[in-house]
Amino acid sequence: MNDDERKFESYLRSFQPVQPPALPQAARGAMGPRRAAAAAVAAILIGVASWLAVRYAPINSKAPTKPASSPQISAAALTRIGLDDEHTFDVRMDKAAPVMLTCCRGPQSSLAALAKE
Amino acid sequence: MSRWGEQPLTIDDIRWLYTRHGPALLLYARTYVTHAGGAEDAIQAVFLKLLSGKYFITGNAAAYLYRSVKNEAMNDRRRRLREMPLVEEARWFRGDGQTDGAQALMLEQAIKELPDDQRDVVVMRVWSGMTFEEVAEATGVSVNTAASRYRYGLERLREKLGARGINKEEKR
Repeated sequence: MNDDERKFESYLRSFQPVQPPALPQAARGAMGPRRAAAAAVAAILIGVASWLAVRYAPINSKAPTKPASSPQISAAALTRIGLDDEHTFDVRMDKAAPVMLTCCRGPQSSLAALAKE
Repeated sequence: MSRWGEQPLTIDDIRWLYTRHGPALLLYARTYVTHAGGAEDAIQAVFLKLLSGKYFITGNAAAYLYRSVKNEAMNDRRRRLREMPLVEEARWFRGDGQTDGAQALMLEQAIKELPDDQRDVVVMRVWSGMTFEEVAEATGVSVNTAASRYRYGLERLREKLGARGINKEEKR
């Protein structure tokens, strides 16, 4: 590119294109209906699981306990993660579910106890 | 120029891209749409997708943005094919005192008259500051082709502006 072309290029650059409208406010921060539903379902599941665990504690205490492979996380914290970041929420749910949710299989499970009743 | 892998961009990344390329992308989109609001809609659509966190940029970010904006603009054009264009079209360049409004209008007209392939390269290179490699990635041609299209585009622009009585000396 010669000098003349460079000058012409900088002449063209002196014309500033019109600015686009402001960037839409973080859609990522806003909660969509699917995420809200997912967070609500997670909160209900955890609530029901906690209630079942308390309600049938004597029966469940006979069930083999699973070693906690990851630190426990509260329902509120999990819900907050669900609202903030979908991907992190999925990962945390996967880790938390085996520890937090009541055992649903086997003769000593909550479901078996419920079925007997 | 920035490249991102297959991971969602942060909001700061997206804002940076919008500030850096937004005006040139708007200009670029306006060369493809028939409706004044169509260009803005095209850009908003692209950036909204990025903000949703569901779309990733692979490869060069500027090239990706130009390809996406062109797709959106072409879709908008197809949608509005039967509509009458607005009489009062939005201007392409700012009239901010540093540039003469009449010259800006003539430049706009001259850009409109360029062939699509030359106009694309000129807009990307002049107003987005993209390298020929990036332009080549965005337009799907070789670097040499992008460079020669650019040279031809500049030549044509000079001729057209010269024919309208504008040149760089006059600007000073």
